[in-house]
Amino acid sequence: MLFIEDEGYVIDRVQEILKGFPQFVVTHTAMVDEARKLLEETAFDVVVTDIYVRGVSGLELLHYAKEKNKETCVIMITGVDNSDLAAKALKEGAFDFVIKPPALDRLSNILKLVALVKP
Amino acid sequence: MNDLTKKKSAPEKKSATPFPSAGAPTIESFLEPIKIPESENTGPLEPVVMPASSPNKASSERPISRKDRQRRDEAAARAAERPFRELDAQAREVYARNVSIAKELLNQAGQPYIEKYERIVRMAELNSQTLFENSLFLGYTNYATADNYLYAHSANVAIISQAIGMVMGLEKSLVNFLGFCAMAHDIGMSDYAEMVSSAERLSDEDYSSVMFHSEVGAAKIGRLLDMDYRLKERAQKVILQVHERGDASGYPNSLMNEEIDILAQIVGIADVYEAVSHPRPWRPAIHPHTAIKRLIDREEKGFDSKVIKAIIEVLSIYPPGSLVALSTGEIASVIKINKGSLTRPVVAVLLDGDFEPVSTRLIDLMEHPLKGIERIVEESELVARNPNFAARQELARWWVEW
Repeated sequence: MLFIEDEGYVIDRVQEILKGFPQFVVTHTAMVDEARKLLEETAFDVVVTDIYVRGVSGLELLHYAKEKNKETCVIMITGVDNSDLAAKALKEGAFDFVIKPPALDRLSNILKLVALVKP
Repeated sequence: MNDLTKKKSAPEKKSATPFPSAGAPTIESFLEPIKIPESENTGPLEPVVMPASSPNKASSERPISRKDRQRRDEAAARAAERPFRELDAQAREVYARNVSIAKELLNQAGQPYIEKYERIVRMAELNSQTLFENSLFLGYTNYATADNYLYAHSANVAIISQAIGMVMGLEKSLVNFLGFCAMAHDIGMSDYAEMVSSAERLSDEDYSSVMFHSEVGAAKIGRLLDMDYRLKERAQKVILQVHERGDASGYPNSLMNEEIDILAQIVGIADVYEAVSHPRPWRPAIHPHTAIKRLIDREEKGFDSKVIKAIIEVLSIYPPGSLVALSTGEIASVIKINKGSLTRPVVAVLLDGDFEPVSTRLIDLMEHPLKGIERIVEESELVARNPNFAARQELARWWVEW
């Protein structure tokens, strides 16, 4: 799994949630360039990404991920004010998204579903 | 009477067909288990009718090309714009025909001669078309019939099987043949009528005799007068194999993976899903989400992963009819699946967070990013929180002729 996020408190919270899913081997990066490179090199099963990482749209990362492996489950993390963008991401193939910070816990529900579909 | 045929003659739909139009279907194409497109193997089964023009080769190997898929999605999107009421009325009408055909077939199965094949295939054609253009149709498979559960069961398994066949990219005529096999898969059960309606779980002895229904059913296919004998052979094989499982745990012959006809695998998984998600006289239904989860978790053993994947694509993780709680606390029922999304269907909000009825409204969770499905609501919870509403819901799932 690739986790792309640059905001400190979200990273901490998500890392904590991910501890409950030892079956996912997690690579984390806060750098967009590194994320692009990783997505080009590796077909990740799951990608969790912020919808904005240092000014770059998560939609772009979604496309990279899907290009490499169209079965990838991409989960977007978004702010309340970016929810329209999240809806767009869904239409372009994102698996689902969570809204930070109050609803971050929903990530664990979504990951449970992902774990089901990706045994 | 024969308005089925009338209905289906809508030639202007041709360009939007969900299936490839790679030449006319031949009987031969039914006779052997087909390879599904991913396997890239068209080898010896392909009747050599295609003039070997290489640019077309790719599209003949992959029954649904990207373009076709796109066209299909666009058509589906267009259809989605039709008003809800119109779609619902059409879905209801087509479903009613399915139930009455299933009823006729099962009731006449005891006669020495049956003439039903052509009619059922016409029905299957209409099902394919309706699944393609009417996203509410699949939700009708939640209905159950009270007088004999096999009526709705046979219709539901046919519709779900066809939907699976379509997402797997099976050829059009094969999907319709699949619909026939699914509709007829329990034809052998008509010999066990008193057990079907029994409110008690079967004894071991009864159970082992019911296990013969696959054989009885396969034999009954022989009585269909209006069916080509070569088609009969494959249909008999499929019906005989519906309870076979890839890990050899099935019956009657404990076959392994590739020995089981792909159509039998499809009917098999649709059969299991339908059975556990619907009530039976001797047990209640389980939540559709739990039913699909069991398939994914492989608690129902021996299904091939490509068939599991296909049924998830058809029904998603929250199948139509699932009662769920939204992130707003409201209680809603899943009405239709949004293609490509496993977790964000269209739902009808029925109750508020305190389980008090509200005026029903539809929410497309794809369009409302701030709302989502939080958890499933079990019937027991509904009964505890709002028994009147639970009773109404329970009544509403029984199909009533009108």
